[in-house]
Amino acid sequence: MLRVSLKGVWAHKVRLVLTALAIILGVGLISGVYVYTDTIGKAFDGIFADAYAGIDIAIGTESDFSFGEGTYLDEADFALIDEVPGVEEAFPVLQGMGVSVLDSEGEVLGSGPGPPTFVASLSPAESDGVSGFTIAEGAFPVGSGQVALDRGIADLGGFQIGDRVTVISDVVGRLDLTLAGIATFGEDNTLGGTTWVFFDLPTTQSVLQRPGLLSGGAVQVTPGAQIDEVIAGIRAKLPDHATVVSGQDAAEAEAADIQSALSFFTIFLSVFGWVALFVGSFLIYNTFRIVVSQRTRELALLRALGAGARQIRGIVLLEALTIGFIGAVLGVGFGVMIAFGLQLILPAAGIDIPTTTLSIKPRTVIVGLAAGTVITFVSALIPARRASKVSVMAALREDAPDPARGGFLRRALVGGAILVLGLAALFFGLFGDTGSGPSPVVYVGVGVGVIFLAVFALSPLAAGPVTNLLGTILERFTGTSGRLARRNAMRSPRRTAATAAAVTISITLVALASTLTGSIRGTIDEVLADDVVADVIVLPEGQFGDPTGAFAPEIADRVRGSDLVADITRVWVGWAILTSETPTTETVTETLITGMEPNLAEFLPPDAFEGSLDPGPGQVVMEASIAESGNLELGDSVVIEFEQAGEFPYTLVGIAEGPAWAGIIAIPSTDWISAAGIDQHAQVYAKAVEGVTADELKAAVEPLLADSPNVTVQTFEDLQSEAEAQLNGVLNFILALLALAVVIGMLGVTNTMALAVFERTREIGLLRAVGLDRRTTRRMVRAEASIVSVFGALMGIGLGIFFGWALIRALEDQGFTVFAIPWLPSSLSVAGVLGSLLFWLFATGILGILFAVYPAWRAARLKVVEAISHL
Amino acid sequence: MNSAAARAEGVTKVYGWGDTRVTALDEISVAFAKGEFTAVMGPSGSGKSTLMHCMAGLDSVTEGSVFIGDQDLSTLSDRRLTKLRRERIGFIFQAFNLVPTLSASENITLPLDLAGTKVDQSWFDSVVETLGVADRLKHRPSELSGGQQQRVAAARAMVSRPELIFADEPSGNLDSKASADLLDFLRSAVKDHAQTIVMVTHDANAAGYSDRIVFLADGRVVDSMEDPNPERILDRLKSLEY
Ligand SMILES: Nc1ncnc2c1ncn2[C@@H]1O[C@H](COP(=O)(O)OP(=O)(O)O)[C@@H](O)[C@H]1O
Ligand SMILES: [Mg+2]
Repeated sequence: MLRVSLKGVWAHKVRLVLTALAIILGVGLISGVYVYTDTIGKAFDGIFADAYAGIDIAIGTESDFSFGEGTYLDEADFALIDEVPGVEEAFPVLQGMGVSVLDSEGEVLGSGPGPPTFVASLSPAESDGVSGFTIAEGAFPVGSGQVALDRGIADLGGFQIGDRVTVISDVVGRLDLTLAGIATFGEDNTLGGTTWVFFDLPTTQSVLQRPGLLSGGAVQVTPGAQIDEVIAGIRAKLPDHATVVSGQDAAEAEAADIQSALSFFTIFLSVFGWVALFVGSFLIYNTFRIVVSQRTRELALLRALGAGARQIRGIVLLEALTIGFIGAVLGVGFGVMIAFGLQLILPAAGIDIPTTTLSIKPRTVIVGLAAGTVITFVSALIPARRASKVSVMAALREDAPDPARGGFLRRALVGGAILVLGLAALFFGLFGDTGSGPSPVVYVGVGVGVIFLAVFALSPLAAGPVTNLLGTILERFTGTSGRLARRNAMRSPRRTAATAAAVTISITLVALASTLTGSIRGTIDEVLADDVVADVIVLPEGQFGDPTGAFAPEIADRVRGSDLVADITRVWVGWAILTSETPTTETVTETLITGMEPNLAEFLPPDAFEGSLDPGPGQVVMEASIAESGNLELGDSVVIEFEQAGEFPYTLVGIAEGPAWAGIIAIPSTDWISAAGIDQHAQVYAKAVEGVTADELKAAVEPLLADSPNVTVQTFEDLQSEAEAQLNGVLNFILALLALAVVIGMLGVTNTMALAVFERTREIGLLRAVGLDRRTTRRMVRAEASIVSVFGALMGIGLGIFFGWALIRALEDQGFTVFAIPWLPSSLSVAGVLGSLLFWLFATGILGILFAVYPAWRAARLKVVEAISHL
Repeated sequence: MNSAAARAEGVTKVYGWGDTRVTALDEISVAFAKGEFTAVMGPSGSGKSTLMHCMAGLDSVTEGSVFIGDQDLSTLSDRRLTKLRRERIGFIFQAFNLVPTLSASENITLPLDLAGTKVDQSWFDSVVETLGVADRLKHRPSELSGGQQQRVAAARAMVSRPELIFADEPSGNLDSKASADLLDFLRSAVKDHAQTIVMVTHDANAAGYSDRIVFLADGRVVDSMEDPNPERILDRLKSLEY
């Protein structure tokens, strides 16, 4: 039996290669992601172990906030540590973010996406390695005029000891400094690609505007002291929100933080690998289905010779296992190569991610092998069952007919019922109240899966009419080859539908991504076009990446200084935890909170509002859908917790409607500043005086801010195109990841066509004999592939639009008010075209032609005489 | 008849190499006259089908030349050869003559459609009428009997008014009634429309419909017979130890 299987595998090498390829690509992506993220994780383990090597006990703080800046310790509290028995010395540290280093041209060094910039205190009192950094060259920075930089950024900026260095702080603005020292992290220039700006402690406190405060520190114990006892002693002296752990535990905890951040990426990226495998499973299923029907006579002969139904099934399944296993092994190998390639490419592209020797964990190999083998095996189950049902009689008959097909009505009823179930689950997940049951995501996921199943059950019913229609259109242009292609595509609706299904899945995701981007673009356009009356807005560079990015108050003063400015309003943004309590429900959310000036509503006019949009101290205003989801009405009270200042009661005094206010919860700026303890702006809106255009205003304001490259001045048109560019970037990234699934779907078309050409050898010979030339033969095969692909794309686009619509409707509360179907390109850029659904419809048609080049070539190369005598 | 519709000059056809080498045609020279119904007979494996395929430009020859009219096939590219086949030659095979996805009438007009030529409707009507498939035109091949399928194939061979029709055991799979219908039609095509037909058969009755018989053995022409009738054919076959 094994021999029969292996011979079957070997006898059809094209099929073997294509089936294995689907597995290799999918498994390769999954295991490549694992290997790469494991490798990064391993590198960080090493980094943190080094960083904490010289620290016996690490002092830190914890916070209720997931996104905040962290909490602080008082210097006075920290000083108590020295009294604890067993403490030799305690080194205080203050660390934060929100600074940028300028190059000699006055531009931000190393800007753009990538590891962030930190500011930290570094003082000679610390012995080696307390923060992991030591001064490698020059001296420790002393006083408000001196700074030290990590060697990575110093080299990038070409700075030498004694050079002038300009640093911009989001809180205190521009600082002109002297480079006192260059720091290194152990052997490395810096820690994992991040940028570090060091001051002495008092200067750090003034740059971050956190006077008298610390992030924590490091403790060295006297020789022979029991670390556990010392930790307990320190613990007793410090406030509750302080954390006291051994250096080793701290290193492990930091490494674990990185691992969990990485695991998000691992999951996100490997999802695309699973999608690719899912698409591949259709390819495999269809291949085995066709092969089994082609081999009916051979299988029937085996049956006649005494093979049992189970043995026949075994032969097919063994063949599947063999192919699956080979594909999975090669796939894991391919994954290692992908990881290796990323290690080479990303640093070359300027993305500095720490790595080390590749980490290939047993988990990676096991998951990869199991995924590839199991998916191939499962995909072959139904075809194997069919194979085992081949009757002995089939061997004796000349033309073995296609086994009877399930009735039209039965299929329609069953498919329809599944569809209703899927829709119910989807809508319940999106719009229903799931209460204490499984999370909505589960319902949505199950719903989407079931809807896919229903569509695939129903698609053979549509395959005939739709391919007929597509073929008729094609026939207009190509004549006889088009007609033959159309008839061929229609001859086995189930095969056509199964082939198209693989295309459908990937195109569904593509169409979903396009529809979501199209709708978000529509929402942004609506907000920017109609609802904002400011002429320009001043933003931190990279505002889109970090919603709490900020700049110093002096910027707003300068903007106000322009003669062309009629009025400005300033906006403060930070994180808060909002608790709204009604008799029945309690909602707690960590959310962005805006500090506003009384004139904000003049710049962001609401469509309608209740109450007042000028909150006084202790009063809050919010957008209608936020109030709704918290069951809040005017006059209700909520509790707002600030990370630094703690909890305060607030009263809801205003509810605004309209896209300009989407997501906004605002308190008076005075409340915001006193709660945050610092004054820094997230945005400044400016209106021009009569007769001055937005562009003129921008031109007038820009020179005033020329020395502050950490902010940009934008008109709303600029903002729109920047938003567009951001959106396109995301879309391109997702499409790049989906490309693999699209390719595998198309490989399914290649495979089906190759098998069909083999199956129709005699018929092609006949056509050639009566006058079909080679070119037309090729065209016939390619046209059929194109019809099948477009059929798949049509279903995919339909599903993608539907899922997109459902999702946007479910997110309406979050400010996604526009649902747009992006049929046409939004712009003539690459991403603009890639985001258009019509493009994908045409593209799959063309891809169908391209992916059928090989089978078409095979068909045209058939020798007429051999073909007509083939059976 | 002054010139041949098709002729082979010193044609040799060899299949395979080394141990598996088979000489299917051995320096054969033969001509088929215009307006004549020629039957090719011979034992199984004597090269009848091979001769047919080579003469029709479906297969290349190892040595020698094949002419359709004055056209030497060996000088033609695949495209020109395909064009020549669909414009000047008609085929009827023993079985699997029809494209399963096309209806009977689409199968009949296939060579014309491929050539992009208009169908001569009155000729089409008279061909399908004569062959008795006029009421089966909308049917798929799978819905036709074997005899009907072969008559549709014959109609396809006729409809483009080719210079020459090759038929390889066209009645081989048919019962005697269906076989007689088909052969009657071929006979009358030669008589009424001066059609040239070359037909391979091993059936003495079928060969009896022809004007002339060429006997093959071991890839060579071993004999021929003018105005045959079944008794003479059977005698001759016996003498050839068939
Ligand atoms: N494609 C082929 N490959 C190898 N040998 C072939 C091939 N086609 C025919 N032959 C051989 O050529 C000889 C003549 O075959 P054929 O013309 O089919 O005979 P007939 O039609 O008279 O029965 C036979 O010996 C046959 O085995
Ligand atoms: Mg033969």
